[in-house]
Amino acid sequence: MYGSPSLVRFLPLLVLIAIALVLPGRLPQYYLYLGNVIMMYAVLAIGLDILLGWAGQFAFAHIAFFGIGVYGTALMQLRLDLPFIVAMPAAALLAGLVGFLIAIPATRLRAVYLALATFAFAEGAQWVFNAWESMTKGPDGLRLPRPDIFGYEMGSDPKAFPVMAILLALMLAATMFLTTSKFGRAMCAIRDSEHVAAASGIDVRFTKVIAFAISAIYAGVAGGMYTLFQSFANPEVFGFGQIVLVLSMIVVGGLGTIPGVLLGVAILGLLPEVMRTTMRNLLVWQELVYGIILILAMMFMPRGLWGLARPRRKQARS
Amino acid sequence: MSEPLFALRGVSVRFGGLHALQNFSMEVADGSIHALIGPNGAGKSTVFNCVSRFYTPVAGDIVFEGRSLLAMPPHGIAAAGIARTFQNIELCRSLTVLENVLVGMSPRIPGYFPFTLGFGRRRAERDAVKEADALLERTGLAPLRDAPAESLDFGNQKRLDLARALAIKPRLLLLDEPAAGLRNREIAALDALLVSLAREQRITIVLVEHVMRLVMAVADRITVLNFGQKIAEGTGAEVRDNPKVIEAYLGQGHHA
Repeated sequence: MYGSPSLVRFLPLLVLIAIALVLPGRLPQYYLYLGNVIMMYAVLAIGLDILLGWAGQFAFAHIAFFGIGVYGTALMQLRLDLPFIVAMPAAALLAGLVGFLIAIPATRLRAVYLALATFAFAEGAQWVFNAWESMTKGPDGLRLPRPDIFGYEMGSDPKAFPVMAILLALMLAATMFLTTSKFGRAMCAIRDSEHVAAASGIDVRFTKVIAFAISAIYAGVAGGMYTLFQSFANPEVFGFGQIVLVLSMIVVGGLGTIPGVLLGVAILGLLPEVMRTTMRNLLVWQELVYGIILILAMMFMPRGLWGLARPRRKQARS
Repeated sequence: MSEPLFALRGVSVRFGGLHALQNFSMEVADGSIHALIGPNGAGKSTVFNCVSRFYTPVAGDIVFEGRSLLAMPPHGIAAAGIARTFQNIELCRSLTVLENVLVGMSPRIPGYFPFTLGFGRRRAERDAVKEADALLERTGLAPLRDAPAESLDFGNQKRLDLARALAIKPRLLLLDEPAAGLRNREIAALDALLVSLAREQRITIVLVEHVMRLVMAVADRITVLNFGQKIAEGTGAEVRDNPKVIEAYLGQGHHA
């Protein structure tokens, strides 16, 4: 319901943090790595879902904002000597600002034109990451600094794990506030009918621009999370395959539903690992597999796994 | 007539070479029900879409309470006190009936900023839900409160379209073919509803409608459009006997 999320809804977040504090000593490093990957993708996917699932805007610039988050967080530590807890929010805000600026012209476009324009922006950003060698080291890749948080050095999976969980919990809490706000309802109204939204006094363009910027901030935070447990980044990380993966996650899980997106992230985040261990030879077909999953999901379960699992909201009796 | 509540003055709209509206003027008196009729494609919905600021006229002005609507953005129209329904029912299909009404109340609910914390937002939403529930009660949609709008039957979708528009608390209500597709019994109820909105709640109504029985029963004044131009205006009796109107509806040669 609208208003504010009730306190009960924050309980799972506290449980998440508690588990994350206990696990690192008890699980093999590999599982912690998988957990980190999934938590990072969760923030990335929820950010894309705000724009795509809630506001209904088919925009694919998301992966570029993720890149700004990664390079921004790393470079502000390397070049400006800023601590991680300053560099990461600053990089996320930078991603949000770029998202805001991109959104001003992009929100004039609709449907496939918006998709193409934002896709072109993502490709352009990847080109910049490649070409700006003095900053990003180009295709050779950038060795990421080991973030230091109040004296705790990150850069390994067990150390990063609790911090990742706290960041994920914070972003999920923010998402709960966002989606239960009047702004969340305005996004849904625009998704369903721009005419109804405008005739009901909702500023359609402003709402889209802000949704775009908020979505970019999530991607920027996910980029900062990447630097917590990875030691290396090159422009390959921000390619087309990634956006297909994140898109598949939210479509398979269920557009516009937080639990659905998390479900999709968990399933598709683990899939490459399952493939790696069980059918090694098929790994080269990974992106094809995502593509097929995406198409099948759109055809046979447009409301995603979460929509299948949960019965339709109370049907009308007429 | 005193200063009209709402007026179009010399409005022209063009789509390429097509003149959707040509130098069209009409004045709507406060508290009246004013019908806008004409054959299909005459430009009736174009008038509404200009008021909603979906189209911008190439000439002319649209004035409401002495202010030009053309100076306002699309989302400013609802805040100014003008609500509308849509000819091919438009709803937020995946939202519930209640949520659709809350969307209609948007300009009146404080707390737009997404991350506003605290009790202010909760109280604002709770008050809004209370008001929306009262409106659903009045429009007979209360039993369907939590059903998604897309699951409603045609009649209830029309009702919801109207409820959403009324949620704006408009001074001026633009209704685009509210009787289309309704059964006789439902049209009778609509007749009574429109009269009560205009007489009791003092909501001025502009009615685009093909169901002449309804138009003749409720309209204080009728404007007739054909090919984007006004061909007649007056009371029901005046318009009905106007040869130009008969010609527009029945074709040339009928009255020759």
